[in-house]
Amino acid sequence: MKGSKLFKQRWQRQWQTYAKYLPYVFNDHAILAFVILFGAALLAYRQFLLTLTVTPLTLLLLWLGMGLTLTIFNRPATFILEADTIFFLGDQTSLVGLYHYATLYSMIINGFIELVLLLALLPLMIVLLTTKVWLLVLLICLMVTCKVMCTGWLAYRWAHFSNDYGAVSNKLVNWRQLAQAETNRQARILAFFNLFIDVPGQTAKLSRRRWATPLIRHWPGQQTARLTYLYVLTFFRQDQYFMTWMRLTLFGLAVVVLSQGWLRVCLLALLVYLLMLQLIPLVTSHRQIVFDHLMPLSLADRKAAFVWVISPLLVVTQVLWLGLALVLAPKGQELLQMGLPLVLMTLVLVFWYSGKEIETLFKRRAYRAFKK
Amino acid sequence: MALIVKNLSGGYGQAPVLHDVTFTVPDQSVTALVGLNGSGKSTTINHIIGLLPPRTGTITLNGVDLISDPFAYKRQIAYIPEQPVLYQELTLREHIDLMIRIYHLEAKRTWQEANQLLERFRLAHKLDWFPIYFSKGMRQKVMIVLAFMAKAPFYIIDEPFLGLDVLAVDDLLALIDERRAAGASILLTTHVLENIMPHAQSYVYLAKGRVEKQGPASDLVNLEMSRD
Repeated sequence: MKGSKLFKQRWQRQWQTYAKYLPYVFNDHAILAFVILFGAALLAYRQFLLTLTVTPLTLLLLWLGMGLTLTIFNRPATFILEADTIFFLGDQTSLVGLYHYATLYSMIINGFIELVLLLALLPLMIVLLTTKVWLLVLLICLMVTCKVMCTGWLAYRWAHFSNDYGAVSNKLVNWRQLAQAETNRQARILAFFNLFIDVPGQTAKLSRRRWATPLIRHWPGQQTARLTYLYVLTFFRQDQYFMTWMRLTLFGLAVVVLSQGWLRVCLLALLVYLLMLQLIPLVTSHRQIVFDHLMPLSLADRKAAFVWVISPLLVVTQVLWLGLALVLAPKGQELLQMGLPLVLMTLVLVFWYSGKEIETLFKRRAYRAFKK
Repeated sequence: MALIVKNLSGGYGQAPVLHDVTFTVPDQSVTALVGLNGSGKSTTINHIIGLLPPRTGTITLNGVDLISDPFAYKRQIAYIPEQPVLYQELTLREHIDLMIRIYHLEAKRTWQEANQLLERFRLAHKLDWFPIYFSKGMRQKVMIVLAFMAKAPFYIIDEPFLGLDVLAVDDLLALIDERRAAGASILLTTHVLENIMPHAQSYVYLAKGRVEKQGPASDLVNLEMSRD
């Protein structure tokens, strides 16, 4: 089979898989929230640009930001499967062809990502660097080319066995390494979809976090809702939940610093909503374990346990945000303007919305046990 | 009778796998559910533990019907699946704590029982390890400890001997005898008939989703499994 045909086959299969899961991501209120967040972010960006002045610090930040775009790197796809190392053992020509096309594909994707990021920074570049179009175009082209070349170089390095002195042989290809790289790449993408629907065969990235042990032991609600213990452990140990909470809390702190008034309140409210949306899958994260179906626990038990898990987390997040707002501008009225809507929204999300979403999730996911 | 399965038909998807399956597991006894690969043993187990809804028929455990009162029904069952399934983010100690919380077990007594089982299966020094990283046999032992520490009235054990070392097989069989003597009933599936024959009181032989034969365990010696 020709490499180009094999690449087309694998690429189509990949997107058929994604097409199965995408409807679960872009549904319900999530898409509305993303649109509003995007609009609010654009508004905040515009306001930020209007107040921006050219100083050594702002220039440095811009260059750092542009440099950072080069590090936002989509690891090259290889489309090599583990079984290929066995089935294509006798004739690797097709695999070599596949790998060349996969590398080209990755170079185009990374180039495109770099272009989008730089276009997002373009207004800042115009304000802080230069208004000469040809200079800006040249700079963008250079950076995109740099990203594309890095992708190609990385793909070449992966493909070959290497020792401390460089590649051992240009002809001996490390197919197992390429197959492993592809498995890891797919796992990262499917882990995102796994937040919204059960994707078979997914294993989460775990971290022990021993420092959290006393927190877990004394977490409220464990006597009242029996699953609180499991959900709290899952939250702290599975990176996808803990890091999400960390990221959104830190992002909220940045919002508190960079915005004010009702724009700030709207952005923070949206972050609270996104946090809720991304932590609700805690409740269904063990549906592939048979005991989750055998335990004598109702949907009400699961909802109650989730409330006990999410409430302290949201309290901590909002205390941090309000605390920072207090430090920046200790005005009672502003704090009230910020705090009251957030608290009200949190109450609605925790005590009403989360229950509805959990019910929908349970109906949606593969569920063969009996419901009370 | 502990377990009564009556006219059970069911399966996965549109085509039924089980056809009119009827058998019982008497009180305080061990029943072996045997059959060739694909005969419907695991499908039967999946119906009994409530993972699959029966298309027709009833399943009753100690007088409690599965459909009418699933929580009271499931509360009576301790299940050991064929493939060990564990929570990847929980240590062995936390697995035990979780079971204690979910099933409202008395913590002190259950931990005493768990510690005895952990010693017996040589897992006592692994309490703060993550069982997900254990070998298959060790994970199977963890499942045995979790199931037997609760002292449930009914045990369902699917292929318990796979992956276990010789000592663990002996320990498990001794445990099954002890629980039966203490009043529990056990339904287990196995291909290793010589292991279970001295310990079982009855058997049920499934073929192509139907009960082909059933009777006292002593008849297992003469059991002929059809190649058709």
